[in-house]
Amino acid sequence: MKNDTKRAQILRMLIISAVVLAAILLLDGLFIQNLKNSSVNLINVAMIYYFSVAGMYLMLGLGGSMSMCSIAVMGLSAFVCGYTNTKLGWPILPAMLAGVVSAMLLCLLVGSLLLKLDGRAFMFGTMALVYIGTSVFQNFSEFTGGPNGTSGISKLTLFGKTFSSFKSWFVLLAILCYLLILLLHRIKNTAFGRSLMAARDDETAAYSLGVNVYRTKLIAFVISGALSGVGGALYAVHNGAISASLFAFSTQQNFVIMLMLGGVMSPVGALFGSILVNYLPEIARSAGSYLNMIYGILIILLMIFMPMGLAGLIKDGFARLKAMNKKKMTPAAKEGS
Amino acid sequence: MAACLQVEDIGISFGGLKAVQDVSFSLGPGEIMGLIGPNGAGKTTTLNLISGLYTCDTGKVILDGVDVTDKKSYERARMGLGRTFQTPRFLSRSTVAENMKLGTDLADQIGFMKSFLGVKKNDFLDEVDQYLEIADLTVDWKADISSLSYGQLKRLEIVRALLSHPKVLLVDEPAAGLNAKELEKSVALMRYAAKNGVGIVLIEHKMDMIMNVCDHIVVLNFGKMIAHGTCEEVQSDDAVIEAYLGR
Ligand SMILES: Nc1ncnc2c1ncn2[C@@H]1O[C@H](COP(=O)(O)OP(=O)(O)OP(=O)(O)O)[C@@H](O)[C@H]1O
Ligand SMILES: [Mg+2]
Repeated sequence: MKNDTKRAQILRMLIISAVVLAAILLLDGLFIQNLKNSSVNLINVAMIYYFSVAGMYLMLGLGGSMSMCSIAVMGLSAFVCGYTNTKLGWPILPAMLAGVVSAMLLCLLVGSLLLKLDGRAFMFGTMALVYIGTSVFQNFSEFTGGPNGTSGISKLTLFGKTFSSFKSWFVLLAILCYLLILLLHRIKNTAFGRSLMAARDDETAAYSLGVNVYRTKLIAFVISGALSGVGGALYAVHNGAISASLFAFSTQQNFVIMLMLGGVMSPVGALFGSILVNYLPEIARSAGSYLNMIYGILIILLMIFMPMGLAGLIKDGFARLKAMNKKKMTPAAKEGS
Repeated sequence: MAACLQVEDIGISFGGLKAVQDVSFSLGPGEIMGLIGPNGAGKTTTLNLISGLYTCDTGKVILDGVDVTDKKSYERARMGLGRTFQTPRFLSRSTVAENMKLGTDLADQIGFMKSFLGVKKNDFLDEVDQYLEIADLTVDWKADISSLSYGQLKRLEIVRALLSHPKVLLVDEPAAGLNAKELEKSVALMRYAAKNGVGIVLIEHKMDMIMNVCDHIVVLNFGKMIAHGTCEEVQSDDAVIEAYLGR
């Protein structure tokens, strides 16, 4: 009986995965390949940003702590990847791995310093890291290439296929995003995910249930660092060239909007939030310098009307539909009306 | 019979207020001990000292033979100290299932990596069904925890604590807000746990319930222990009568 439900679950997973894969391939063939290169770039970068936004979801949506340093962590990983590849001559995959490991170590260090403090201190402390990051990326020329940045990063080759154009990246990135969503979903349903939610909702209850709140959040922060690290390494390879200005605070601000727009509690929502926010400037090109104002107003409206983001809106919609159906079905309600 | 919980002269002050002073008692496996006293007597504070939410200014807490006075509350929980709260504490933004599974997670004590790979030790559904039957509760696992009534939460909190396989269970006012039938089920849960060797400390204002289920009783007033004995001894104790009637 129990084995049956497990088998049914796996079967369902496989079917969903097949459908998603088919959708990605269709989207690629029918839509992406006909877009301008610059538009594809925006969509790809949004999916790369999503790795950082997913890390923020883990920290905030599940853990209740606002982490504001994803862009700096991403930057470190990108520059370590660029440095080991272009200056030390490492092949691209080990170089990317080096980036991810450096990102995790940074989060381990920062987390052990800041996660013992309260939520606000953690937020401001991580924010400061972005300013330090930008300055380090600009000034440590030996390592980052300084004002010129790092260029000439090798192309990625996987399974004999070289990813040379932006358009060739789309399918790979989309599949990675799907895997990331599965990963987040899995985390949410493990003992670790529950202890993270306990730390978010009620620290006292968490302690009484044997949860080491600090350690739980530290692990989550290192995982979020790994995600940002993967994002940073992908960014370096996807772009081929990187510079300090790409890892400034304004991008971190966008991460916040992506997360809020999509829905703090929903990984899938956050993916669509990421793509929407990164693509918006392309659609609203005429808005030009007013874009920041639009963002600002958008956030305020979001907080007032849909604090749970797009995902919350959709969930509410479904709940309302369900309730309507129920009303229709119960005879008592019929008699009453 | 070796005690599963020993409390020796514990005390704590808040500013000038001596909330708990020199409280000592010992609890054996399968025993139910009542902890009673007027409002503000220091009952909940005593529980917080035992579970490690507060740090003792004085005294020692010994859990199953191990001195845990310097241990953090989550460490004590992992060593077999379960508790409930005067106002039930649940994860407000999670489902009933997620909330209850935290109890089994504590019994499992599986590391981060293993839990990710799906390793489990205890069967949550099997165990919880058995407790829910005793507690006369039916729940919708996917419902938000906020959709439950106070009386349900009070009982679910005990079930959650039992899922963690505690050696000692501290229960703070389980009867508050429950009707007579619910109360009966709550008592059944505690009796069942005690029968299985769990030592229980029970704080309660409902005297009939205390006299009905407790093997012995500690009485607090103004943070001090004014009596300790069997139900009969405590009921006929002058200091206790004074504390309850003299107010
Ligand atoms: N964290 C704290 N800071 C300051 N004073 C506290 C704290 N916790 C408890 N007290 C005080 O300690 C005294 C004992 O409180 P406690 O909550 O233990 O009483 P109680 O016996 O549980 O009462 P009740 O039956 O009303 O629940 C009270 O005077 C209370 O105000
Ligand atoms: Mg109390």
